[in-house]
Amino acid sequence: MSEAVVDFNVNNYRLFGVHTFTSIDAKLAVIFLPAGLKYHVGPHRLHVKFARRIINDKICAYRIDPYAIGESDGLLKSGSVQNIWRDIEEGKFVPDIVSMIHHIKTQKGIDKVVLFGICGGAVTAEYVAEKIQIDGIISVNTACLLSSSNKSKKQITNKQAGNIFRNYFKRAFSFDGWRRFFSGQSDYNALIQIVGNLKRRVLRSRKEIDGINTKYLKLLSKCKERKVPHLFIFGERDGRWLEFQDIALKNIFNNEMSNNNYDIHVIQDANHELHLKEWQDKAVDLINIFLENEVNDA
Amino acid sequence: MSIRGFLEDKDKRKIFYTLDGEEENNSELWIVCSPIFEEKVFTYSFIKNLADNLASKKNLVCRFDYLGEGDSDNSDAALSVNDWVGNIKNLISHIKCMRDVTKVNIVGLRLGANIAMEAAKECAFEKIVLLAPIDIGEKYINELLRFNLSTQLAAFRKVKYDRGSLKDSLLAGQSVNILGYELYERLFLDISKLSLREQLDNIKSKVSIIWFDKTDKISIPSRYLELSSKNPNLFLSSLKLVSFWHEPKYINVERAELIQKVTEAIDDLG
Repeated sequence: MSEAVVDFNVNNYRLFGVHTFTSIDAKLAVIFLPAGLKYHVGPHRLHVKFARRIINDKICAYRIDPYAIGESDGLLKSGSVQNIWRDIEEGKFVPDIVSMIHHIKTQKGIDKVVLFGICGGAVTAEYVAEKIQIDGIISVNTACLLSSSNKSKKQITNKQAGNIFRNYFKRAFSFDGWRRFFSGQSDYNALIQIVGNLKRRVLRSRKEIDGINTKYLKLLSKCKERKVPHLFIFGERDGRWLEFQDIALKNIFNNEMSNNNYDIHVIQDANHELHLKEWQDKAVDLINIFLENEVNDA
Repeated sequence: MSIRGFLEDKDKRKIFYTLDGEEENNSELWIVCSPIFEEKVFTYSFIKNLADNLASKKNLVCRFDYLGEGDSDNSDAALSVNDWVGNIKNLISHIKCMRDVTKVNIVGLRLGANIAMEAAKECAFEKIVLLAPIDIGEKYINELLRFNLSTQLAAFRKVKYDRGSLKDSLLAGQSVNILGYELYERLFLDISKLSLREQLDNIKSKVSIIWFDKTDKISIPSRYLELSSKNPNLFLSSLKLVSFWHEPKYINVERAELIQKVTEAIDDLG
């Protein structure tokens, strides 16, 4: 295996990435997109570990930094992380990434591109697929809700409310639970949200959940219609899976976990960033099967 | 001129590094040591900005990823703090072959500060700047293990293995997961036995330590004040600053106040 630093000139800025390969003849590139504000190595360098495990003579990998992230030129403007996340969820990195992919396709002899993204990176992947030909998307714990600029107003979905409700229901029979409630240690915002959610269900209100990333969901629908191969991986314990079930699974995927063009997998007990090695192993297995099908299709 | 690339060590392991600074007028090299694990990811932009600032003052500046960190080669159970010191020594030799370096300095953040001090036992650094160093390695290890407990709670809704069990597992040769990173016995023992106070004993270089605290009441541990009163080469200062090496709520990449403080600390060292 070899690795090399690659740089791209985009709008007179130098943007950087790392190319991982075993053969310069590889025709399929998996491009790892930044997860939120975490630079090209990804959370706990997951992109590095995954890139080194999925490449072969037919497949190479790039992990890239858009402007103001990681090795690339520029400094992020100061501000609330929630606001910056929201900008990313609305497509902040898309122009830089499209330019870098264009360069990789035209200068590096790559025929097919598969995008890999965790959380905000998965959202970015969908926006990028709207702008440039993409041959597959691997989404890990993708985000259907926009980050709130005001945490206290963060909405929760039915599944999340149900989850929290079950936890609080257990605590209703515990002395410690009531002690926490009366001593101001409970998450009152969550309780208010649960009551609101129950009210919506009881009154069968058609009021929609606030903060849904409708632009992303439309693109997800379009991608499905265009039959862009898509592998979704979720951690069973991640709130993003609950969101996805409430918001996208029913409305876009008719509650079907797979068809010819997409597969939705849930890794038991896994969290948002797939911390444990066994969760990562499972994800790599799924990705390798997905990529093998992609390469075979070529 | 800047370089971004990989340096291979004698065991063919590749280390990612960057070298910034103009070709001419460079006689001082600064090695920048990052924190480890996810603290490195969260401080990456600050470390890069600090390096750019040092390079803008006609220094050569080298940032790098320790073995098993960032883009460098993956590590295994045998990884030790000594390997990371070896990374620093290799980089210095490599850069000295390329450039005319007369003085070598080092700056480190968090555990990176302690790694810099370990490297100082084998390298003749002119100036050493330590930012929020780890005072006692064992306490830091307990902080790391707390992240494992949080992961257990999130995944299994209960703590299956407490800190004691995790330490037993490490000593039995198993790894413990810290926010996605695997910690093994060797590194666990190496970090556990680190003590900044002991690292400062017999140090010949000029050392400046900057302590951080989120309140105005920054207390520099008395043992360092005592040591500083006896050692004219040890400079202590403090800065009111919220720690920024964990998931932040507010982004301030520039950290002008900290960059200014580092500049002052370097000036103190002459």
